[in-house]
Amino acid sequence: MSRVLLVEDNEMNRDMLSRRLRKKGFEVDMALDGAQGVEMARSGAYDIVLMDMSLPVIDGWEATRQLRAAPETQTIPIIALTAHAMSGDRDKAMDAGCSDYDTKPVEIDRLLLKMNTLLGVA
Amino acid sequence: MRQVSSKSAARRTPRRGTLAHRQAALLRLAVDLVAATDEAQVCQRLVDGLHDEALGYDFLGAFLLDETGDRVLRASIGWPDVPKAWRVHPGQGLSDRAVKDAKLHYTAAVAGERSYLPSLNSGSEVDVPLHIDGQVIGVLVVESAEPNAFTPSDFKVLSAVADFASLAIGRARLLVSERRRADEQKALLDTMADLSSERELSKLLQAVLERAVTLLGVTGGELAIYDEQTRELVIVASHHIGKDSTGVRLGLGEGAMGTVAVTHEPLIIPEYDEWSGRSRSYSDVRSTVRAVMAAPLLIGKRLVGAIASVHSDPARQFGADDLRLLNLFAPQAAIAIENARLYTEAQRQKEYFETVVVNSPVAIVTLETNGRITSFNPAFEKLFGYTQEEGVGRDLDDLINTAETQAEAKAYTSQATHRTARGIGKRRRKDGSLLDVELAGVPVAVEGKNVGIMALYHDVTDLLSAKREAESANQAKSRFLANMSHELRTPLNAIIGYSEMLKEDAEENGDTAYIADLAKIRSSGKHLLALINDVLDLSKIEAGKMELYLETFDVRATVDDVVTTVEPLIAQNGNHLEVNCAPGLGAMRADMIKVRQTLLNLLSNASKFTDHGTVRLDVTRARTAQGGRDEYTFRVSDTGIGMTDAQQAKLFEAFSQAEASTTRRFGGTGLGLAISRRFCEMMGGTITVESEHGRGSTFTVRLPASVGESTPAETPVAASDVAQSAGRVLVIDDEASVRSLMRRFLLREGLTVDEAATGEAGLRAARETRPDAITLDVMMPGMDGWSVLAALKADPELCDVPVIMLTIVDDKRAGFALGASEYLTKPIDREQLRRVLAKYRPIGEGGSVLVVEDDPSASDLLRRTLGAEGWQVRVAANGREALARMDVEDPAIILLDLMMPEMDGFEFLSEIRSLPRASTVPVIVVTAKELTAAERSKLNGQVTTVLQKGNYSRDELLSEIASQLGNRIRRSTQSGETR
Repeated sequence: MSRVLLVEDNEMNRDMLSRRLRKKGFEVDMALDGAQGVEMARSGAYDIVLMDMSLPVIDGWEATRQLRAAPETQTIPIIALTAHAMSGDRDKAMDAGCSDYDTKPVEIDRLLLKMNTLLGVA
Repeated sequence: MRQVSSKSAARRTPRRGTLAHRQAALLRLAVDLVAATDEAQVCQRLVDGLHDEALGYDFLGAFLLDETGDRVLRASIGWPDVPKAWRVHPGQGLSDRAVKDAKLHYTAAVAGERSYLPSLNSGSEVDVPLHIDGQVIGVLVVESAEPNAFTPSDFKVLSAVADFASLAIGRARLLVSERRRADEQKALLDTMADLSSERELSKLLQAVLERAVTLLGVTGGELAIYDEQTRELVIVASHHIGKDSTGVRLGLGEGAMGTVAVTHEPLIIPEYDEWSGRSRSYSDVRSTVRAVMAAPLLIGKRLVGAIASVHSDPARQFGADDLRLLNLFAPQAAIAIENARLYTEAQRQKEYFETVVVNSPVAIVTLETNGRITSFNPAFEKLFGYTQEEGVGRDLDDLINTAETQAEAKAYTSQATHRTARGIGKRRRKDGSLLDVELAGVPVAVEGKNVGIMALYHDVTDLLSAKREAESANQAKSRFLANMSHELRTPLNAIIGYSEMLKEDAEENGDTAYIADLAKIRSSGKHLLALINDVLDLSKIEAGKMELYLETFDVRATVDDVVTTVEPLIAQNGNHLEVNCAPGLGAMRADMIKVRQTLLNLLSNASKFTDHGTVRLDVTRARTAQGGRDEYTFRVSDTGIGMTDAQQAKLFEAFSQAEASTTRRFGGTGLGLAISRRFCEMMGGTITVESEHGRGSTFTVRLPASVGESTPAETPVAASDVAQSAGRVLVIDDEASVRSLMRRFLLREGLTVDEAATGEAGLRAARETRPDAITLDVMMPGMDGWSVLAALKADPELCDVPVIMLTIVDDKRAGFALGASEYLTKPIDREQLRRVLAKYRPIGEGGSVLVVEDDPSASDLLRRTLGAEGWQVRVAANGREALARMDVEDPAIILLDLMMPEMDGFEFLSEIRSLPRASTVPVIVVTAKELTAAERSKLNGQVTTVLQKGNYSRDELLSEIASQLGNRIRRSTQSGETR
């Protein structure tokens, strides 16, 4: 079973997404801010990271950069999740090192497709 | 002959003198006649001499013929009641015969003659013709109260005397005409002298008139100017016509002058009193004016006035000679009037423009071609604070510029010597304050020769600040939208997500009662989200913030993807979807997301407005006929409800579904088509619709196969080689070898190359060819690279073209310091140095500086200054020494003088840049002169890149050009969005 790290500060989003992913058969752990997300990801316990971008302590872009800079998390798939639909968000996320990008509100089927592609499942 | 009265017994007196007396009298007569100066005198002396007692002729009359053939009495004796200048018409009187046959006629008994005009003295009469060269010019009449009073010897004497008198008249006439010609010449010369003098027009015309009157030998005259406005003649000069008629106005056709003004032909009126065309203005001068001669004053065929002469002498009749004389003066007067008119007109225009300039709210200044101020208007005084005394004679660019704006201003001025320059910039007031101005420089040409420049300044400080405010407001709006979008999405996220989850749970648990309600919550949430997305998209487009994300993608795959997405929607309304993709569609370069969104929008619309029908998507690729652009066509047709013409007209406007009610019935935000159209336009394409109410609609999207390659919606420029070319580069360099090298490099890359050997030629070429990039040599004779650059940046049409500067300091390999991080100029400003160094100071304390400087005092100063700041300072006197020091230890920073013995700064730079270890050490160039403040700002801002000539590799150059061309494409697509 794939293990997912969901980095999300909004409680409702966290609750909703984690429940739906668990229902689809994923193991889901949660981090509440960027720093915590980086720390947990470095444990090497996760197959994929879903990263909100507007996060406290350190934001999603910086967290992604740090993950990419560390050897143990250099290659882990990271999907950026952001409510920002303004221009450049996609580029900004990809530039920071994200593997893919999706906007919130999450469309569960689309997200699953992206996750499965990155996990080599689909 | 008719004799009015005679008291004395006028007869041929018998008291004749001796022969000697008679001969003496004849001799006296001859002498008198020879001495006479004009014909009147000759006639008078003729009758006086014959009246001599020794000769004994008592009744005498001398007639001369005038132009009409009338005999006019010029002198007489013994005819006391005969009027002066008595006129006898041809065919009348006894003397008529002598005039007719030029022979002496004797009438022994006058009483019996029919043609004799009865008189008291009727006795006998001799008529002796006066003639010159066989031409009769008059007649001498000699009478006696007695019949048969004359003898043949009388005939001999009278004939001889008459002949002698005729000769005298002929001579006198010659004399008169010669004198007259001399007078004419003088009068004309005087008049011409008058014309070139600067006398007031009315005085000048008065002089011309008086001269004409004198020469014509008439009583007086008048001169009038034609007033084109009122179509009247205005008398401006009047001379002896019986009153001062100055100021009198005559309508066209009124009076003598009014008549000639209409006919453009001269006119002679012999008896003014009897003439029917008299003007009422002259009723009071009828008694003094007998005859009138008038002529029009013309310039070409244009009437400028009229001249008239009058006389009161009944003996005087106007004839061809008079007309000739008058016509000598007419053109002179006409020229005088025309000159005056032109002068007045020029004066008036000058005053007009002066008034315009003086009252203009725009600051206007005129310059010599060298930039010196010749004048400026009050608005300029007010705007810049300089008075005329302070400004005139100064160089404008020096007067109102700062060091920063000087170069740019000079470039405008130099452009304005031959063509209009426009721009916006900062200028300095007298008090030192800066203002934003919109400026225009216009060459002033007189008869095709540039004589100066007119510059206009319009204060746009408020305008610019308003613009900046508007821009910042717009940015605030964009930020607000971004935030709003985020704030709205977060709760929506929960609404959609939880309702979706609950719906799934309900489905699993079989709670069918809730499923429909949860589905409604979810779909409303989704609709709201779509609405937010569309409003956001649209506002981004309106704000010019929407960007194109260009990628190359397979068209077929994208179409399949769209079809998969839209299929459930199509099925909802029981529709059938037909997809036809032409074979070999290949890949297109465009913004895939936007293409996808457009197709999805069109297909879902088609399905929405079609019930149990067919929706069709056709995709083809072809070259357009015009310009040959490679293009994709996506055609979405349906068999739905269609649209009326009125509906179609508003279709692509935001918030305009066919009817307000459609929104409720069919859903959707009503923004989809407006957004789709703007997306297509951004990519250089179009979207069109054909529809028939009740029959369905067809939407056609046309997009270029490679977005950004050809500018959207522009007229195809004779697309021959340009279409194939990857770009157009203008090479400006004075060295032919460099140009040919560049050409070979660039051509191989598929770029079109234009060359220019001088800065001026380069500017011309740039304006003509509009290159995508320019390579520019700095060192050129005449206009150097900096000036060319300034001119390019000043031209609104060219300022966006990337410029790649190529430069050398000398002809060796020493490239201009490409690797330098900063430039400082000598003498060094301590504060600046401190600031610059602080930027490169490693984190933590200390840090070592290597000072490479040959001048010991400068080197010492730097060491002490830096030492005081806590740096460890090492010193090298030239490049070679510095390199040796770097073998020992890498400094944190290098301060480098450019001009040094042994190994100069340029050489040193290229050496250390080749060392992997040292290539990252920041180098601060310390230069004595090379870079002025303006040049430095150019380097930092406007110059895109500086490359070392002789040192750059082919690959470096090409990649630089390629990246500049790429930037340009991006820029042009961005500007396309704002539309």
